[in-house]
Amino acid sequence: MKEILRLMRYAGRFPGFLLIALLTMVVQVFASFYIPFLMIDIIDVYLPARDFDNVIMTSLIMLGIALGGIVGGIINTYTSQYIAQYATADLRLDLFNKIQTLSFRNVDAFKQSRLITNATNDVLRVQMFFTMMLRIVVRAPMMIVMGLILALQTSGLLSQVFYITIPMLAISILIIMFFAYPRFKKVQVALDDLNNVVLETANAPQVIKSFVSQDHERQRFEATNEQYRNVNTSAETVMAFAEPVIQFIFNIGIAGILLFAAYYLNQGELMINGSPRIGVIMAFQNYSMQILVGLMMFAMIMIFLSRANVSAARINEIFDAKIDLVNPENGKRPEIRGSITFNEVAFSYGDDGNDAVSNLNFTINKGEKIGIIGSTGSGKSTLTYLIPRLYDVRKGQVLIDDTDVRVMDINHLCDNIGYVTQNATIFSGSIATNMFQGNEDADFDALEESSKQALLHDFIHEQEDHYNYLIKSKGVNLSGGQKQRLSIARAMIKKPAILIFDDATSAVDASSEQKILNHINGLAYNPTLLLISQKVSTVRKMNRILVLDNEGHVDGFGHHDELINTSKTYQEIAHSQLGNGGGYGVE
Amino acid sequence: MVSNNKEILSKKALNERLKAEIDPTDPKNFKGGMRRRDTPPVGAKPKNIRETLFRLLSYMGVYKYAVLMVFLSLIAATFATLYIPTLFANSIDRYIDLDDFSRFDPTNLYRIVIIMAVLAGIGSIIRFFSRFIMVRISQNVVKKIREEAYDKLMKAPVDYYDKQGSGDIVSRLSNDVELISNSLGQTVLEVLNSSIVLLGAFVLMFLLNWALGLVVIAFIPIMILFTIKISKKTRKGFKEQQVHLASLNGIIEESVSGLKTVKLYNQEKPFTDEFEIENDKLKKAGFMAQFYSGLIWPFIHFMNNLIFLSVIAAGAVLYLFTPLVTIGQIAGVSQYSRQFIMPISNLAQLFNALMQGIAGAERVFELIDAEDEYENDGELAIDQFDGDISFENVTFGYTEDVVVLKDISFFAKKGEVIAIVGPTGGGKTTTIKLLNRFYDINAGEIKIDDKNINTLQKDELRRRIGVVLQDTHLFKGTVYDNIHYGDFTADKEAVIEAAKMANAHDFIIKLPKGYETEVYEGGQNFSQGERQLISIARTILNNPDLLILDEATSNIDTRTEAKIQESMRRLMKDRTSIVIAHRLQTIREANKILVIDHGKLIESGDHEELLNAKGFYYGLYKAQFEQ
Repeated sequence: MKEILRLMRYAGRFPGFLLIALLTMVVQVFASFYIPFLMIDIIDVYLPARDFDNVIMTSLIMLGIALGGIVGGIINTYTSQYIAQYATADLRLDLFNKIQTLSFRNVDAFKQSRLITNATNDVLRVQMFFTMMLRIVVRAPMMIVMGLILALQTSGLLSQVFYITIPMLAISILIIMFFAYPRFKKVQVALDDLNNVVLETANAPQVIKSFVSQDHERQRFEATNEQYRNVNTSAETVMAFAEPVIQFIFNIGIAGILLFAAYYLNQGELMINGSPRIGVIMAFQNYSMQILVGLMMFAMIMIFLSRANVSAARINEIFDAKIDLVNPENGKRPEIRGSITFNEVAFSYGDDGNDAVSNLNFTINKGEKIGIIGSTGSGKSTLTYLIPRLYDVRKGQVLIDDTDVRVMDINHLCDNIGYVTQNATIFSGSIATNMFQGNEDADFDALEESSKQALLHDFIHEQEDHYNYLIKSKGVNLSGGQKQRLSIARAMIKKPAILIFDDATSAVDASSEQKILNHINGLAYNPTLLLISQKVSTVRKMNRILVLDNEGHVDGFGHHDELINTSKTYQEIAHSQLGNGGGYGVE
Repeated sequence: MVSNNKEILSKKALNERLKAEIDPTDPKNFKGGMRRRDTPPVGAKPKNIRETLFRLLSYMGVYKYAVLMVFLSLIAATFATLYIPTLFANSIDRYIDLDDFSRFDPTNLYRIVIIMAVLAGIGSIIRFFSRFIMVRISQNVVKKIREEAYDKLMKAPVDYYDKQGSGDIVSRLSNDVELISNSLGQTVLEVLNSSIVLLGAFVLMFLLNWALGLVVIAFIPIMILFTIKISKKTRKGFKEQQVHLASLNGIIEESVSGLKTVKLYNQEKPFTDEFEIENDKLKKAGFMAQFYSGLIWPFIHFMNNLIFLSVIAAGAVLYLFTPLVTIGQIAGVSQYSRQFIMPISNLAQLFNALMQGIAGAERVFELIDAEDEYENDGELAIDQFDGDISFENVTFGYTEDVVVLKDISFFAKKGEVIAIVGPTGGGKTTTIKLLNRFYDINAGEIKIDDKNINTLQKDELRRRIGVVLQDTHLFKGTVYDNIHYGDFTADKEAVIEAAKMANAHDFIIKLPKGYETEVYEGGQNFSQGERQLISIARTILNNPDLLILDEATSNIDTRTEAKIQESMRRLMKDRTSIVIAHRLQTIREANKILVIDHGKLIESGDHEELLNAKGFYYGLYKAQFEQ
C-alpha cells in the first residue's frame, strides 16, 4: 500500500482535475442514493394521500437528479481517465529518464531484463490501478459512508441490519484474501517455471532434436504443467467462494431488513399516520444492495492492489537507486589527442574486494595500435570500460592526454571515443540513422567514407534503399557480420581520437578483418586503437599487445616476438592457436 | 551476384535521394519523430470466431455431463435467489395490511424471513458447487491444450522455431493459453450466469406484475444500442493504444538492452525525444480509448437510476389510477429492475474478454496445427552407422526462392575428418545442418552408408549423429543432469567417465557443489568454454557414430581452449566427423578440407594440396595465419 501511495504524487500533479473527479464522484454517488430516498415519500406519503401532483413532482426531481448523476459521471470519467493516462505518461517518462542515467553498476545490480519489465509491465499495472482508483477505490468508501448516513437518516432502527451485514462481508472478504493471496503467489511462481521450460525448449530445438530427447522434455513439461494446474485450481477454488458468499450476505441483508421491519412494526415503530412505512423498507433494500455492490468492487480492487503494490515497489526501487557515476559539473572539454595512461588502476564490479582488474600501469601513445588479449574473465573488456567511464575505477586513475577522465565532461569524452561493443548493438531505424548516431552532422560523403572503411559499402549498395535500408528491432534482418560492420562504421564516422574494438570482428572473416584494419592504419587523423581479440593472428598485427592474465593483471605489454618469449599467458595462447610447428618459434 | 543486374545509382543521384528521404541536415531525422521504426504487428482480433469457438468448446466435450450439471445448477441457484424479491413483494402485500394494520402478525413475516435465508443459503451453496466444478473443468482443458501445443512443439521442424522466434512461442504457450483459461473459467460461467439472471429476472418480474415489467423492457433497446456503439468506438481506440504501446515498449527494450551503446554514442537525448513523442501519442490515444470505454459506467449508473425511478413513478401512477399494481409489486419490480442492469453491462464487458480468449485460442491452435516434421519421416530403422557420408549435388535454400547451397558434392570415408572452411555467411553452418535433416534439401541426395537419409527414421538418424555447436545450450538443472542428457540410461560412473574424457571433470569438481552445481537458464553462470566442455561430455556419453562439430571462434579462454581441442580430438577418434574449422591445427589434421563460399564448394583437398593450388584457401590461409 505504501509503495503505490508514493506514486500517487503523479496523480497529484493534476490537482484541479483531481478535485473535479472527486466532486463529480460525490454527485454520482449522491444521485444513486438520493433517488430511493425521495421514493420513500412517494410510497409512504403521497400514495396513501392520493397526491398525484406530488408524485409527478417528486418523479421529475428524481429524473433531474439522475441527469445530474450522468453529467457528473461523464465529467468524472473524463477527468479521472485524463489523470490516469497523463500521470502514468509522466511516471513512465521519469522512469525512462532515470533508467538512462543509471550507471552500469546500477544496471548490473538491477539486470536489464528487469528494467525493461519495470518500464513496461509494471508501469501498466500501476496505470490500471490509477484508472480503477478514481473509479472504484474512491467510490466504494463514499458509497458506504453516504449509504450509511442516508440509512440512519431514514431509520436508525433498520440501519442495525448494516451493523451485521457490513462486518460479515468485510470479514469474509478478508478471509478469502488471506487464503487467496499466498495461492496466487504460488501461481505466479509456477507460471514462471512453466515459461522457463517453454523458453528453454524454444531456444534449443536443435539440441533436443539431436539427442532425440523429446520424451524427456515432454515429461519435464508435464511436471510443470501439472504443477501449474494444481496451484491454479487451488487458487481459483478459493476465489470460487467469493461470489456465492457475497450473494449470500446480500440476500441475508434483504431478509434481515424484513425481519427487523416485522419486529419493529410489531413494536409499533416504523409507522406514519397509523400505517407502516413500506417506502422506508424498500429504500433500505436499495441501500443495502448498493452498499454491498460497492464493497464487492472494493474487494476486487484490494486483490488487485496487492499486485499493483508489488509493481510500484519495483518502480520505486529504481527511483531510489543512487547513481554512483555522474557527469561532473562544468566538466573539462579539452581537445583530445588520444594518449591513454592507466595509473595504479584497480576495479571491481562488486563491493566484495574481488578486483576484476588491478595493478594496471601502462601508457598508450597517441596513434598507437594496441591489441589486448587474455582469457575470458581476465578483464579485457573491463579495462576498456574504464576509458569512456562506463564504470569508474576503484583505485588509481585513467588519464587521457594527462587529464583524469573523471573531471571531463562525459559527453565530450564519449564524442572522442569510437567504441564498438562486443555484441554489436544496432537500433531499429535505417542504416543511416544508425550511422548518424556516430555523428549527427555527417554528410553523404562521410557516410560513404566510413561505410567503405567498415566494408559495409557493397552491402549498402546492394540494397534497393541503400542507406535507407530499414533495420528491424535488434537488427534481426542483418547477419552477425553485417551488424559488426555497421557498428564499426558508426564508430569510424565519429573520426574519434580513440577507437576501441571489443572483439568487434569476431563474425567478420579474416581477410575482411585485415582490410578493415588496413583502413584504420591508413587514417590521416591517426587514431589510437585498442583492439580486443581472442586471436593471436589478429593482435599480432598491432604495434604492441597488452596481455592480461587470469587475475586481471598485465602479464606482458610488447610486440609479438617479444611476448612469445616473456609472457607465459601469451605463450599458452599462441601455442593453442597456432599449434606445434606453426613456425612461430614455440618449442 | 545479386547486385550485378541491379542498377547502382550514381553518387549524385544517391546523394539527392538521401537528402530527399533522410536529409541529415534536418535534425528531426534522428531526433525521434521521423525515425522509421519497425513496430511489431498488434491487434488481437480473431479471424474465424465460430470455428475457433467450436473447437475450443469441443475440448469440453469429455466433460459434457459436468458442464450440463453446472448449467442446470446455475439455473437452480439463480431462481432460488431471484425468487427472494417476489417473496418480499408478496409478504408486503399479504401480511402488511395498510388499511387495517391492527391485525398485523409478525410471525408470518418471520416465516418468510426463514424461507428467504434458506433460499439464499441453498442458492449460494449450489453456486459455489458449480464454480468448483467449472474451475476444475477449465483447468483440465487448459492443461490439455497446453500439452497438445507443447507436443506439437516437440514435433515441429527447426524451421518453425526459426520463423516464430522463441518469444512468440513462449507467448503462445503462456499468455495466449492464459487468455483461454480466463475465457473458459470465468467468462463462460459469467455469460451463463448473466444470461440466466437476465432471463430469470425478466420472467419473475413479469409474473409479479406485467405492467411494470413492460416499463422496464422499454429501456432495454436503448441500453443495447448504446453498449454496441460504445464498444465499436472503444475497440478502435484500444487498437490504436496497442500500436503506440508496442512501439513505446520497443523503444524501451532497445535503449535498455543497448544501453552501453546509447551511452557511448550520447544517444540519451535522441532516445528520450523519441520516447517523449511516442509517450505523448500513447497518452492521448490511451485517454481517448479509456474515456470512451469508461463512459459505459456513468451510463449504466444512469440507466440504473432511470429505470428505478420510472418503475416507481409509473407504479405510483398506476397505483393511483388503476387496480393493476400493489405497493408490494412496486417494491418487487424495482428490486428486479436493479438486478437487470448488472447482467447487461456484464455481458457487454464479457464479450470483449471472450473475443480475447478466442483470439488467444486461435494463436494456440495455429501452433497445434503447425507442420509435423515426422509426417515425412523415413521408415528404415538402423542399428549403427559405419560412417560413409556422401553429398551428391546437394542444393538447398531456407526459402524456395533463395538458394543458399548449390550443387555441393563430397564424400567422407568411415573415420575421416572433414574440415569446412570459408568466409562467414558462405554456407558452412547450413551444410552441417542438412545431415541430420534439420532441413530437407531441395535437390540432390545425402547418403550415409549408401542409404539416402530421407529413407531413414529421423529419430534413429539423429540419435547416431553427435552435434557440438559453437554456442552450446545448457539446460536448467545440475551439471550432472546436463551431461546425463546425452544418455538417460547411463549411470553415475559413466557420466563422470564422460566428463573426464571431455576434460570437464577437473573444473566441475572445483565448483562449489561439484556435479550438483545448478546451471542457470541458458548456462549463464558458466563461461562459453566451460559450456562447451560440458556439451562435449554430453556428446561423449551419447556415443554417436558420426560427429558434427563447430569450433568456437572467439571468447574462449586459452587453457579451456586447449582442453577443448584435446577433448574434441578424443571425440573424433574413429568417428567420421565434419568440422567447421577455425583452428589451423584442426584444419591441418583433417583428411579433407572443403572450402565453401557463396554456397558453392570451390575447393577441396588436404592442406598441402590446397596450399599448392594457390587458390582461395591459399589466400585465406595467408590472411589468417601469416603476417
